[in-house]
Amino acid sequence: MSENHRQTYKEEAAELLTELESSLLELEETPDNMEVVGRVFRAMHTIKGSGAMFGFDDIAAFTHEVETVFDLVRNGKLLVSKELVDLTLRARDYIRELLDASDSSLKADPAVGQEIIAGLKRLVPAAASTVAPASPKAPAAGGGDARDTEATYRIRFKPSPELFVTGTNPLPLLNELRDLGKCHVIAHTDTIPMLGEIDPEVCFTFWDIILTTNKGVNAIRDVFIFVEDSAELKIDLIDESWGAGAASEYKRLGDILIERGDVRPEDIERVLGKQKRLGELLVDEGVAAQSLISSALAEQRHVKEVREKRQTVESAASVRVPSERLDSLVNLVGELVTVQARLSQTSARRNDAELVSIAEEVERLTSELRDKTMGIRMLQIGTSFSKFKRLVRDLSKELGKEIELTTSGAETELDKTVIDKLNDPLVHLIRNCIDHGIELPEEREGAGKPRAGNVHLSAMHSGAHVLIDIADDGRGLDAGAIRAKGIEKGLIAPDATLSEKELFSLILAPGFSTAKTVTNVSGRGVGMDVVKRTLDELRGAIEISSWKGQGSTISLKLPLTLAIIEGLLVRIRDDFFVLPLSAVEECVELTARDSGMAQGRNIANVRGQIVPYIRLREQFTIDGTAPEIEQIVIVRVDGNRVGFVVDSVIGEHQTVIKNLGRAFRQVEGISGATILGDGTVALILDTAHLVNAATMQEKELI
Amino acid sequence: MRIEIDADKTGRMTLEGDLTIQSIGELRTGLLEAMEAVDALVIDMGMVTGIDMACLQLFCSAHRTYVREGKKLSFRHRLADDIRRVVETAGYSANACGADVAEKTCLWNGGRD
Repeated sequence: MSENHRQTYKEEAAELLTELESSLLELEETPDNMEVVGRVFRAMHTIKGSGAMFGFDDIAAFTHEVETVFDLVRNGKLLVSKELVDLTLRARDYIRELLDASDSSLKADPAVGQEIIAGLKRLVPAAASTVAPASPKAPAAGGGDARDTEATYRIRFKPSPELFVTGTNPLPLLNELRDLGKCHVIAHTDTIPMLGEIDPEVCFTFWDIILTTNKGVNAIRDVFIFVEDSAELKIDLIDESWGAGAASEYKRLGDILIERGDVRPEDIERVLGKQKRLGELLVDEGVAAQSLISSALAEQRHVKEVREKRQTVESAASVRVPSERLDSLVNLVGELVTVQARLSQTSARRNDAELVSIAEEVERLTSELRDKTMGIRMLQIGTSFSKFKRLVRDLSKELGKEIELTTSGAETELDKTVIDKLNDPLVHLIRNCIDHGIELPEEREGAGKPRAGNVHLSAMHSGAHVLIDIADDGRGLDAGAIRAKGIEKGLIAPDATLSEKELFSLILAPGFSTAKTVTNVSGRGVGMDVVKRTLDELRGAIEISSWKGQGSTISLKLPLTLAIIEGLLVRIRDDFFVLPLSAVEECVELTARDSGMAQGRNIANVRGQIVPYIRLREQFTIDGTAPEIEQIVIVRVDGNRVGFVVDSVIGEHQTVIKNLGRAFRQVEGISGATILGDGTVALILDTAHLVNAATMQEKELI
Repeated sequence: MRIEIDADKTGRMTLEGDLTIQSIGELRTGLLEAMEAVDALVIDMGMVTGIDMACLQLFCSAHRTYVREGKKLSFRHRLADDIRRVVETAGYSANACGADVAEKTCLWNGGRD
């Protein structure tokens, strides 16, 4: 078995384990939801089956044991209990370990596995356990498990004429068939005699049933087991999912009728000579009764539907692509966007109508291509939300708290890179909520709150950004304690007047923790500054609000993607710069007279408010004199309004971000670069760093 | 079972309770007798609570017989859901039985008056 296949199996198994985990957590809340039980069972069944196929024998053997227990649950012989979910979650972790161990020197401890299985076996009631070994389903080798493949059968059921008199009701039989899968039942009524002649107690009706099921032919036979002896039963396999069924075209009506033996081929040939619909012709000719034709048509329709459905399922199936390949695709698209911009500019300059129209076409296609490519990298944030369910469950248990995690907006899409990088900050923030925020159940009751605390995780789109809120209904931040700690750590002056928001943002400073004791959950003061740093890297922002005794909310604002930036393009002499548009608040003019009035201080009066500004010309030591009228671009940095003075503002510019070369990585105040249409490079400004640098300079001057 | 016949030879048959093989003989006689007297018979199934397969078969037979005699047989209202479900489960509605080939009617498909 090639390494490639093993890798694919491991990726799939990892996904299945995630699914298993979330299903188990769901099961814990709704223990009698058989649909979830089915999901758990299926996930394990697949892990086991393909595990055996790809040589992960230990996984197959272990999973088989767990699956056996869940088979009992599925058949109603064992009830879902907290212990069962606990053990199965541990089993899931153990499978994960086995999976990881397969390509490293680390070996999973088999004793752990034994212990889990022993625990599971203890849960199995004595009566059920005697049943359990009776189904020693060996791990399905080669994927030959009949239950996984779908096939369509044609069943002709001609009951004995005494059917009604013997008190047998065929309805439940037909219903049982319906339970097996997609099913069409056609009653043949042609043989029913006229009212004058009929013995109403005799069954004259017979049935054609077209059934698509993955349960196999024996399951169908089982349905008829009690009437088999007296009835005529014919089951034909007419369509298989693995067969040459690529097209949704099915057999022609004539072929079906001949195959069933309802019409002779000669009759078909003869009738086909006349140009009418075959079905009508056959009835007109008296070759076949209408019901036989209807039944054959129903079969045709049924198989067509099944095949069409299968086709959509197949075409909707996904392709697994390594993310590096996507990254290189995005890079190429970035290049293409740049070249396209050049083409547009050149064609506009040449004033060649034909070239312009080609350039426009290219522009349209490029922007579509860019959006589609970005779309491929988008993932639903829900995948990482579900991971936190487990985190909350385990942590709250450890701390003796009762906490429920609710989520909303799980379908919000975000660039994969952003989601990946966001994981750690979110873990920190949720840990904080659980450890510091939510009180112990008794304390909560004392405060008149429900025993169980709530952590709510929500995501929503807002323009080119995604807003993620982590809200808890705990005790809220203690402004006094934060202030005291801030003074103690020398972060603020003892007499500083700070708004609540500014005060709260102190907890993002490195080394800041007000927790009196350090738990192994949080409180080491390494969490929040890491969160802040990661968010900076992601060009995101963090905001904290809190209400004493009622809880706190931490809001994160993140760009949809890291590959593209919505920027404001500005110019200083011949140099171009891009400011992240999300932070830009407004642009105002700065005349020489204005700056003269400020007496050399870099502050502007904007509608009565004082806004400090940084002259980028000075900051980047660009030669030449500034024009008479300059522009201040006012940007929000860490909650403050700061201006950046530039020669002129060119306009909005959506651009693909390029990393700077190795030599320039260390340059502060620049976060990247982008190539403009004419091939010139524009630097992307890191406003936060620029403001920091300017503040430092200012301090040194004083 | 109650049968009323109007002057224009339209009959109405009102049925009630469970229609099963136990009373099927009576039903057959009723349908046959009505056929002699009417051009069209409308069956009111409003009070029917259940139906078995034997009766479904009998209705089919009756419909074909009426059509052959150039008469009409239909249900007064849309059948109640419970009855419809039986008809569908039994696979009767999936079939234009061809009793009336020209109109392609089936008693169970669009069984209205």
